[in-house]
Amino acid sequence: MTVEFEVNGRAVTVDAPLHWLLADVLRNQLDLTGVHLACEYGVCGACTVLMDGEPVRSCLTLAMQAAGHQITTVEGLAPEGQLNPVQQAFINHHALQCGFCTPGFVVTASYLLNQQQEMTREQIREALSGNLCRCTGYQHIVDAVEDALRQSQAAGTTLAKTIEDK
Amino acid sequence: MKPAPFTYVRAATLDDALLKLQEWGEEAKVLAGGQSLMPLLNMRLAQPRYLIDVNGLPEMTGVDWCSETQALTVGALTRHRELLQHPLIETHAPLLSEAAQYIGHLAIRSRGTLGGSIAHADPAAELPLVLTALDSTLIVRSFEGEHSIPIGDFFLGYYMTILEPNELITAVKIPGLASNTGYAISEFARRHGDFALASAAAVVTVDERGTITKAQCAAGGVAPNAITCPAVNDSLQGARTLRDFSQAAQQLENFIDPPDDLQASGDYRRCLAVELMTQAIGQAYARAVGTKEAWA
Repeated sequence: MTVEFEVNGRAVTVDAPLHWLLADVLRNQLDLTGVHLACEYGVCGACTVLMDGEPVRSCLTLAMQAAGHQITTVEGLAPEGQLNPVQQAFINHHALQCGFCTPGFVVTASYLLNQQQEMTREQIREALSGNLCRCTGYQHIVDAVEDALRQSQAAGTTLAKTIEDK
Repeated sequence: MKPAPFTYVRAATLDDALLKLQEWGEEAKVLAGGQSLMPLLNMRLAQPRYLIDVNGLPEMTGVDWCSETQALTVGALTRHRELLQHPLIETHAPLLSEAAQYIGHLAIRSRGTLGGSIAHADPAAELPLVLTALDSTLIVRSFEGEHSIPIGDFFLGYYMTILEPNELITAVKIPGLASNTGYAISEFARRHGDFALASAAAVVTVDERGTITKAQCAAGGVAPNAITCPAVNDSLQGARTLRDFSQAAQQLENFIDPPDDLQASGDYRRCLAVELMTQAIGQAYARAVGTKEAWA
Protein backbone atom coordinates (compact mmCIF):
# COMPACT_ATOMS: atom_id res chain seq x y z
CA MET A 1 0.00 0.00 0.00
CA THR A 2 1.20 3.53 -0.62
CA VAL A 3 1.74 6.02 2.17
CA GLU A 4 2.47 9.72 1.87
CA PHE A 5 4.37 11.73 4.42
CA GLU A 6 7.12 14.30 4.73
CA VAL A 7 10.74 13.42 5.41
CA ASN A 8 13.27 16.12 6.20
CA GLY A 9 11.08 18.72 4.52
CA ARG A 10 10.50 16.65 1.36
CA ALA A 11 7.13 15.09 0.47
CA VAL A 12 7.48 11.37 -0.26
CA THR A 13 5.18 8.62 -1.47
CA VAL A 14 6.28 5.12 -0.58
CA ASP A 15 4.84 1.77 -1.55
CA ALA A 16 5.45 -0.67 1.30
CA PRO A 17 3.91 -3.79 2.84
CA LEU A 18 1.41 -3.02 5.62
CA HIS A 19 3.51 -4.58 8.36
CA TRP A 20 6.75 -2.74 7.65
CA LEU A 21 8.31 -0.58 10.32
CA LEU A 22 8.94 3.12 9.71
CA ALA A 23 12.62 2.48 10.40
CA ASP A 24 12.84 -0.07 7.56
CA VAL A 25 11.11 2.20 5.08
CA LEU A 26 13.39 5.11 6.01
CA ARG A 27 16.49 2.95 5.64
CA ASN A 28 15.65 0.63 2.77
CA GLN A 29 13.39 2.70 0.57
CA LEU A 30 14.46 6.25 1.29
CA ASP A 31 18.16 5.52 1.86
CA LEU A 32 18.18 7.39 5.16
CA THR A 33 20.65 4.99 6.73
CA GLY A 34 21.41 7.38 9.57
CA VAL A 35 18.39 5.72 11.19
CA HIS A 36 20.12 2.87 13.00
CA LEU A 37 18.40 -0.33 14.08
CA ALA A 38 19.73 -2.41 16.94
CA CYS A 39 17.31 -3.86 19.46
CA GLU A 40 14.12 -3.46 17.41
CA TYR A 41 11.92 -3.44 20.47
CA GLY A 42 12.17 0.12 21.72
CA VAL A 43 14.96 -0.19 24.26
CA CYS A 44 18.15 1.15 22.66
CA GLY A 45 17.00 4.41 21.06
CA ALA A 46 19.29 4.16 18.00
CA CYS A 47 16.30 4.48 15.64
CA THR A 48 14.93 7.66 17.26
CA VAL A 49 13.46 10.14 14.76
CA LEU A 50 11.27 13.21 15.21
CA MET A 51 7.60 12.87 14.31
CA ASP A 52 5.98 16.32 14.12
CA GLY A 53 8.90 17.52 16.21
CA GLU A 54 8.67 14.88 18.95
CA PRO A 55 11.13 12.04 19.49
CA VAL A 56 9.68 8.62 18.65
CA ARG A 57 11.08 5.12 18.13
CA SER A 58 10.89 4.39 14.41
CA CYS A 59 11.10 0.66 15.24
CA LEU A 60 7.87 0.93 17.26
CA THR A 61 6.06 2.92 14.58
CA LEU A 62 4.59 1.38 11.44
CA ALA A 63 5.40 3.08 8.15
CA MET A 64 1.64 3.39 7.54
CA GLN A 65 1.33 5.42 10.74
CA ALA A 66 3.60 8.12 9.31
CA ALA A 67 0.83 9.08 6.85
CA GLY A 68 0.37 12.84 6.88
CA HIS A 69 3.11 13.42 9.46
CA GLN A 70 6.46 15.19 9.30
CA ILE A 71 9.44 12.97 9.99
CA THR A 72 12.92 14.29 10.70
CA THR A 73 15.91 11.95 10.70
CA VAL A 74 19.48 12.76 11.67
CA GLU A 75 20.11 13.62 8.00
CA GLY A 76 17.57 16.44 8.20
CA LEU A 77 18.86 18.25 11.27
CA ALA A 78 21.16 20.57 9.33
CA PRO A 79 21.61 21.56 5.67
CA GLU A 80 23.89 19.32 3.58
CA GLY A 81 27.53 19.78 4.58
CA GLN A 82 26.69 21.61 7.80
CA LEU A 83 26.32 20.53 11.41
CA ASN A 84 23.70 21.51 13.93
CA PRO A 85 24.88 22.72 17.40
CA VAL A 86 24.44 19.25 18.92
CA GLN A 87 26.49 17.57 16.21
CA GLN A 88 29.24 20.17 16.59
CA ALA A 89 29.22 19.72 20.37
CA PHE A 90 29.53 15.93 19.95
CA ILE A 91 32.76 16.51 17.99
CA ASN A 92 34.09 19.08 20.46
CA HIS A 93 33.50 16.80 23.44
CA HIS A 94 34.49 13.49 21.85
CA ALA A 95 30.97 12.24 22.50
CA LEU A 96 31.15 9.37 20.04
CA GLN A 97 33.41 6.43 19.46
CA CYS A 98 31.97 3.72 17.22
CA GLY A 99 29.08 6.04 16.34
CA PHE A 100 26.31 3.47 16.17
CA CYS A 101 24.16 5.06 18.87
CA THR A 102 25.07 8.62 17.84
CA PRO A 103 22.16 9.42 15.46
CA GLY A 104 19.64 8.49 18.16
CA PHE A 105 21.41 10.61 20.76
CA VAL A 106 21.77 13.55 18.38
CA VAL A 107 18.08 13.45 17.39
CA THR A 108 16.96 13.23 21.03
CA ALA A 109 19.31 16.05 22.07
CA SER A 110 18.21 18.22 19.13
CA TYR A 111 14.64 17.85 20.39
CA LEU A 112 15.82 19.09 23.80
CA LEU A 113 17.46 22.10 22.16
CA ASN A 114 14.24 22.89 20.30
CA GLN A 115 12.37 22.99 23.61
CA GLN A 116 14.47 26.00 24.68
CA GLN A 117 14.18 25.14 28.34
CA GLU A 118 16.90 25.29 30.93
CA MET A 119 17.90 21.84 32.06
CA THR A 120 20.06 20.65 34.92
CA ARG A 121 22.64 17.96 34.26
CA GLU A 122 20.39 15.50 36.08
CA GLN A 123 17.45 16.38 33.82
CA ILE A 124 19.65 15.97 30.75
CA ARG A 125 20.70 12.52 31.98
CA GLU A 126 17.07 11.53 32.48
CA ALA A 127 16.08 12.86 29.05
CA LEU A 128 18.89 10.86 27.41
CA SER A 129 18.21 7.72 29.46
CA GLY A 130 16.21 6.20 26.61
CA ASN A 131 19.34 6.06 24.44
CA LEU A 132 21.96 3.43 25.09
CA CYS A 133 25.68 3.73 24.32
CA ARG A 134 27.98 0.72 24.68
CA CYS A 135 31.40 2.23 24.05
CA THR A 136 31.90 5.99 24.50
CA GLY A 137 30.40 6.14 27.95
CA TYR A 138 27.84 8.70 28.92
CA GLN A 139 29.94 11.45 30.52
CA HIS A 140 31.13 12.97 27.25
CA ILE A 141 27.69 12.68 25.70
CA VAL A 142 26.10 14.52 28.63
CA ASP A 143 28.93 17.11 28.48
CA ALA A 144 28.21 17.69 24.78
CA VAL A 145 24.47 18.08 25.25
CA GLU A 146 24.95 20.34 28.26
CA ASP A 147 27.31 22.54 26.24
CA ALA A 148 25.00 22.66 23.21
CA LEU A 149 22.05 23.61 25.43
CA ARG A 150 24.05 26.30 27.21
CA GLN A 151 25.27 27.77 23.93
CA SER A 152 21.85 27.73 22.32
CA GLN A 153 20.40 29.41 25.40
CA ALA A 154 23.10 32.08 25.33
CA ALA A 155 22.38 32.60 21.62
CA GLY A 156 18.63 32.69 22.33
CA THR A 157 19.13 35.25 25.09
CA THR A 158 21.35 37.38 22.83
CA LEU A 159 18.74 37.18 20.09
CA ALA A 160 15.93 38.13 22.47
CA LYS A 161 18.04 41.02 23.79
CA THR A 162 18.83 42.23 20.26
CA ILE A 163 15.14 42.23 19.41
CA GLU A 164 14.36 44.01 22.68
CA ASP A 165 17.05 46.63 22.07
CA LYS A 166 15.62 47.36 18.66
CA MET B 1 13.11 -8.89 14.55
CA LYS B 2 10.31 -7.72 12.30
CA PRO B 3 6.58 -8.30 12.81
CA ALA B 4 4.86 -11.18 11.02
CA PRO B 5 2.59 -9.91 8.24
CA PHE B 6 -0.80 -8.53 9.24
CA THR B 7 -3.51 -6.43 7.69
CA TYR B 8 -3.36 -2.87 8.97
CA VAL B 9 -6.42 -0.67 8.91
CA ARG B 10 -6.77 2.84 10.17
CA ALA B 11 -10.20 3.30 11.73
CA ALA B 12 -11.94 6.29 10.16
CA THR B 13 -14.42 6.66 13.02
CA LEU B 14 -15.02 5.03 16.41
CA ASP B 15 -17.99 3.12 14.95
CA ASP B 16 -15.75 1.88 12.18
CA ALA B 17 -13.25 0.58 14.77
CA LEU B 18 -16.02 -1.08 16.82
CA LEU B 19 -17.54 -2.69 13.74
CA LYS B 20 -14.20 -4.17 12.76
CA LEU B 21 -13.58 -5.39 16.31
CA GLN B 22 -17.03 -7.02 16.28
CA GLU B 23 -16.24 -8.75 13.00
CA TRP B 24 -12.65 -9.83 13.67
CA GLY B 25 -12.75 -10.37 17.45
CA GLU B 26 -9.70 -12.20 18.77
CA GLU B 27 -7.95 -12.07 15.40
CA ALA B 28 -7.55 -8.30 15.78
CA LYS B 29 -5.46 -6.11 18.06
CA VAL B 30 -6.06 -2.43 18.69
CA LEU B 31 -3.07 -0.20 17.99
CA ALA B 32 -2.87 3.01 20.02
CA GLY B 33 0.58 4.30 21.05
CA GLY B 34 2.17 0.94 20.22
CA GLN B 35 4.85 1.17 22.90
CA SER B 36 3.91 -2.22 24.38
CA LEU B 37 2.18 -3.84 21.41
CA MET B 38 4.88 -3.12 18.82
CA PRO B 39 7.67 -4.84 20.80
CA LEU B 40 5.40 -7.89 21.14
CA LEU B 41 4.79 -7.85 17.38
CA ASN B 42 8.46 -7.32 16.57
CA MET B 43 9.44 -10.24 18.79
CA ARG B 44 6.54 -12.22 17.30
CA LEU B 45 5.14 -12.95 20.73
CA ALA B 46 1.89 -11.68 19.22
CA GLN B 47 0.85 -12.40 15.64
CA PRO B 48 -2.61 -10.91 15.10
CA ARG B 49 -4.17 -11.11 11.64
CA TYR B 50 -5.52 -7.58 11.85
CA LEU B 51 -4.28 -4.37 13.42
CA ILE B 52 -6.86 -1.63 13.96
CA ASP B 53 -5.20 1.76 14.35
CA VAL B 54 -7.36 4.04 16.52
CA ASN B 55 -4.94 6.99 16.67
CA GLY B 56 -6.64 10.32 16.13
CA LEU B 57 -10.23 9.21 16.86
CA PRO B 58 -11.86 12.29 18.43
CA GLU B 59 -14.16 10.20 20.71
CA MET B 60 -11.07 8.85 22.47
CA THR B 61 -9.16 12.12 22.68
CA GLY B 62 -9.24 15.11 25.00
CA VAL B 63 -9.54 15.93 28.68
CA ASP B 64 -12.74 17.27 30.17
CA TRP B 65 -13.70 18.46 33.68
CA CYS B 66 -17.34 18.27 34.73
CA SER B 67 -17.96 20.61 37.67
CA GLU B 68 -21.39 19.07 38.29
CA THR B 69 -20.12 15.54 38.87
CA GLN B 70 -16.67 16.73 40.01
CA ALA B 71 -15.10 14.19 37.69
CA LEU B 72 -12.32 14.39 35.15
CA THR B 73 -12.77 12.45 31.92
CA VAL B 74 -9.52 11.63 30.18
CA GLY B 75 -9.60 10.21 26.65
CA ALA B 76 -7.97 6.81 26.24
CA LEU B 77 -5.66 8.17 23.55
CA THR B 78 -4.14 10.78 25.88
CA ARG B 79 -0.40 10.34 25.60
CA HIS B 80 1.89 10.15 28.64
CA ARG B 81 3.53 13.43 27.60
CA GLU B 82 0.11 15.11 27.68
CA LEU B 83 -0.50 13.72 31.17
CA LEU B 84 2.64 15.58 32.21
CA GLN B 85 1.57 18.87 30.68
CA HIS B 86 -2.22 19.18 30.68
CA PRO B 87 -3.49 21.96 32.99
CA LEU B 88 -6.75 20.12 33.87
CA ILE B 89 -4.80 17.05 34.90
CA GLU B 90 -2.42 19.16 36.94
CA THR B 91 -5.39 20.70 38.76
CA HIS B 92 -7.71 17.74 39.22
CA ALA B 93 -5.57 14.60 38.97
CA PRO B 94 -1.95 15.61 39.62
CA LEU B 95 -1.17 12.05 40.70
CA LEU B 96 -1.44 11.06 37.03
CA SER B 97 1.26 13.54 36.05
CA GLU B 98 3.47 12.33 38.85
CA ALA B 99 3.02 8.74 37.77
CA ALA B 100 3.73 9.56 34.11
CA GLN B 101 7.21 10.83 35.03
CA TYR B 102 8.20 7.29 35.91
CA ILE B 103 7.07 5.79 32.60
CA GLY B 104 9.83 4.61 30.28
CA HIS B 105 11.74 7.33 28.49
CA LEU B 106 11.15 10.53 26.54
CA ALA B 107 10.40 8.86 23.19
CA ILE B 108 8.13 6.28 24.85
CA ARG B 109 6.15 9.06 26.56
CA SER B 110 5.71 10.83 23.19
CA ARG B 111 3.63 7.93 21.91
CA GLY B 112 2.35 5.74 24.76
CA THR B 113 -1.31 6.24 25.75
CA LEU B 114 -3.39 6.02 28.92
CA GLY B 115 -5.88 3.51 27.49
CA GLY B 116 -3.08 1.42 26.02
CA SER B 117 -1.32 1.12 29.35
CA ILE B 118 -4.53 0.03 31.08
CA ALA B 119 -5.50 -2.51 28.40
CA HIS B 120 -1.96 -3.94 28.31
CA ALA B 121 -2.22 -4.59 32.08
CA ASP B 122 1.44 -4.88 32.97
CA PRO B 123 1.59 -5.66 36.72
CA ALA B 124 4.31 -3.02 37.26
CA ALA B 125 2.70 -0.24 35.18
CA GLU B 126 2.27 3.12 36.91
CA LEU B 127 -1.03 4.30 35.43
CA PRO B 128 -3.12 1.26 36.48
CA LEU B 129 -1.59 1.70 39.95
CA VAL B 130 -2.57 5.33 40.45
CA LEU B 131 -5.95 4.91 38.75
CA THR B 132 -6.64 2.15 41.29
CA ALA B 133 -5.71 4.45 44.17
CA LEU B 134 -7.91 7.17 42.64
CA ASP B 135 -10.92 4.82 42.36
CA SER B 136 -11.30 5.48 38.64
CA THR B 137 -13.89 4.13 36.27
CA LEU B 138 -13.21 2.92 32.74
CA ILE B 139 -15.58 3.81 29.93
CA VAL B 140 -15.76 0.85 27.57
CA ARG B 141 -17.46 0.73 24.20
CA SER B 142 -18.41 -2.08 21.89
CA PHE B 143 -20.65 -2.34 18.84
CA GLU B 144 -23.46 -3.16 21.27
CA GLY B 145 -23.09 -0.04 23.39
CA GLU B 146 -21.23 1.65 26.22
CA HIS B 147 -20.70 0.64 29.83
CA SER B 148 -18.57 1.55 32.81
CA ILE B 149 -16.17 -0.71 34.69
CA PRO B 150 -14.70 0.23 38.09
CA ILE B 151 -10.96 -0.21 37.73
CA GLY B 152 -10.90 -2.55 40.72
CA ASP B 153 -12.93 -5.09 38.71
CA PHE B 154 -10.96 -4.73 35.50
CA PHE B 155 -7.70 -6.65 35.95
CA LEU B 156 -7.64 -10.45 36.04
CA GLY B 157 -3.90 -11.01 36.35
CA TYR B 158 -0.66 -10.71 34.37
CA TYR B 159 -1.61 -8.93 31.13
CA MET B 160 -5.19 -10.17 31.56
CA THR B 161 -8.32 -8.07 31.85
CA ILE B 162 -12.08 -8.58 31.56
CA LEU B 163 -12.12 -6.57 28.32
CA GLU B 164 -13.94 -8.62 25.66
CA PRO B 165 -12.36 -9.00 22.20
CA ASN B 166 -15.00 -6.69 20.73
CA GLU B 167 -14.52 -3.98 23.35
CA LEU B 168 -12.42 -0.84 23.48
CA ILE B 169 -11.55 1.50 26.36
CA THR B 170 -12.51 4.97 25.19
CA ALA B 171 -11.96 7.05 28.34
CA VAL B 172 -11.20 7.03 32.04
CA LYS B 173 -13.28 8.86 34.62
CA ILE B 174 -11.37 10.10 37.64
CA PRO B 175 -13.05 11.64 40.69
CA GLY B 176 -11.66 15.13 41.38
CA LEU B 177 -9.49 15.55 44.46
CA ALA B 178 -11.61 16.24 47.54
CA SER B 179 -10.52 19.02 49.88
CA ASN B 180 -7.96 18.17 52.57
CA THR B 181 -6.77 15.34 50.37
CA GLY B 182 -3.21 14.49 49.44
CA TYR B 183 -1.77 11.95 47.05
CA ALA B 184 1.59 10.35 46.27
CA ILE B 185 3.29 7.65 44.24
CA SER B 186 6.52 6.00 45.27
CA GLU B 187 8.39 3.42 43.25
CA PHE B 188 11.76 1.78 42.99
CA ALA B 189 13.50 0.61 39.83
CA ARG B 190 17.20 -0.11 39.32
CA ARG B 191 17.37 2.59 36.65
CA HIS B 192 14.94 5.39 35.88
CA GLY B 193 12.44 4.18 33.29
CA ASP B 194 12.89 0.48 34.03
CA PHE B 195 9.95 -1.61 35.17
CA ALA B 196 9.39 -0.95 38.87
CA LEU B 197 10.47 -3.71 41.26
CA ALA B 198 7.65 -2.47 43.44
CA SER B 199 5.49 0.64 43.67
CA ALA B 200 2.87 2.17 45.91
CA ALA B 201 0.31 4.93 45.64
CA ALA B 202 -1.78 6.58 48.33
CA VAL B 203 -4.62 9.08 48.42
CA VAL B 204 -5.53 10.24 51.94
CA THR B 205 -8.05 12.71 53.36
CA VAL B 206 -7.57 14.38 56.75
CA ASP B 207 -9.92 16.24 59.09
CA GLU B 208 -9.20 19.67 60.53
CA ARG B 209 -7.09 18.17 63.33
CA GLY B 210 -4.85 16.40 60.84
CA THR B 211 -6.23 12.91 61.43
CA ILE B 212 -6.76 10.60 58.49
CA THR B 213 -10.46 9.97 57.84
CA LYS B 214 -10.19 8.20 54.51
CA ALA B 215 -7.42 6.42 52.67
CA GLN B 216 -7.18 4.57 49.39
CA CYS B 217 -3.87 2.77 48.87
CA ALA B 218 -2.66 0.61 46.00
CA ALA B 219 0.42 -1.50 45.38
CA GLY B 220 2.08 -2.38 42.06
CA GLY B 221 4.68 -4.87 40.85
CA VAL B 222 4.05 -7.27 43.75
CA ALA B 223 0.98 -9.12 42.47
CA PRO B 224 -0.35 -10.19 39.06
CA ASN B 225 -1.92 -6.74 38.77
CA ALA B 226 -2.16 -3.45 40.67
CA ILE B 227 -4.07 -4.16 43.87
CA THR B 228 -6.04 -2.14 46.36
CA CYS B 229 -5.03 -2.58 49.99
CA PRO B 230 -8.21 -2.57 52.15
CA ALA B 231 -6.30 -3.64 55.29
CA VAL B 232 -3.91 -0.70 54.90
CA ASN B 233 -6.83 1.67 54.26
CA ASP B 234 -8.66 0.46 57.40
CA SER B 235 -5.55 0.66 59.51
CA LEU B 236 -5.03 4.29 58.44
CA GLN B 237 -8.34 5.40 59.96
CA GLY B 238 -7.38 7.85 62.70
CA ALA B 239 -3.68 7.72 61.81
CA ARG B 240 -1.55 10.85 62.11
CA THR B 241 2.06 9.92 62.87
CA LEU B 242 4.83 8.32 60.87
CA ARG B 243 4.64 5.32 63.21
CA ASP B 244 0.93 4.92 62.39
CA PHE B 245 1.72 5.05 58.68
CA SER B 246 4.46 2.48 58.99
CA GLN B 247 2.21 0.15 60.98
CA ALA B 248 -0.55 0.51 58.41
CA ALA B 249 1.86 -0.21 55.55
CA GLN B 250 2.99 -3.37 57.38
CA GLN B 251 -0.48 -4.79 56.70
CA LEU B 252 0.66 -5.24 53.10
CA GLU B 253 3.01 -8.05 54.13
CA ASN B 254 0.11 -10.38 54.91
CA PHE B 255 -1.63 -10.24 51.61
CA ILE B 256 1.08 -10.07 48.98
CA ASP B 257 3.25 -12.98 47.94
CA PRO B 258 5.44 -11.74 45.08
CA PRO B 259 7.39 -14.47 43.27
CA ASP B 260 11.19 -14.60 42.99
CA ASP B 261 12.58 -13.58 39.61
CA LEU B 262 15.87 -12.51 38.02
CA GLN B 263 15.47 -8.94 39.26
CA ALA B 264 14.69 -9.54 42.92
CA SER B 265 13.56 -12.16 45.42
CA GLY B 266 9.97 -12.21 46.58
CA ASP B 267 11.02 -11.39 50.13
CA TYR B 268 12.94 -8.34 48.94
CA ARG B 269 9.96 -7.16 46.93
CA ARG B 270 7.68 -7.57 49.93
CA CYS B 271 9.99 -5.47 52.16
CA LEU B 272 10.33 -2.89 49.41
CA ALA B 273 6.57 -2.62 48.94
CA VAL B 274 6.05 -1.95 52.66
CA GLU B 275 8.73 0.73 52.68
CA LEU B 276 7.39 2.38 49.52
CA MET B 277 3.87 2.28 50.93
CA THR B 278 5.08 4.00 54.11
CA GLN B 279 6.72 6.70 51.98
CA ALA B 280 3.66 7.18 49.77
CA ILE B 281 1.33 7.49 52.77
CA GLY B 282 3.71 9.93 54.47
CA GLN B 283 3.98 12.14 51.43
CA ALA B 284 0.25 12.01 50.71
CA TYR B 285 -0.43 12.92 54.34
CA ALA B 286 2.03 15.82 54.26
CA ARG B 287 0.29 17.16 51.18
CA ALA B 288 -3.15 16.65 52.72
CA VAL B 289 -2.31 18.74 55.76
CA GLY B 290 -0.79 21.25 53.40
CA THR B 291 2.72 21.13 54.74
CA LYS B 292 5.73 20.96 52.54
CA GLU B 293 7.75 18.76 54.86
CA ALA B 294 8.85 15.52 53.30
CA TRP B 295 8.31 12.45 55.39
CA ALA B 296 10.25 10.28 53.05
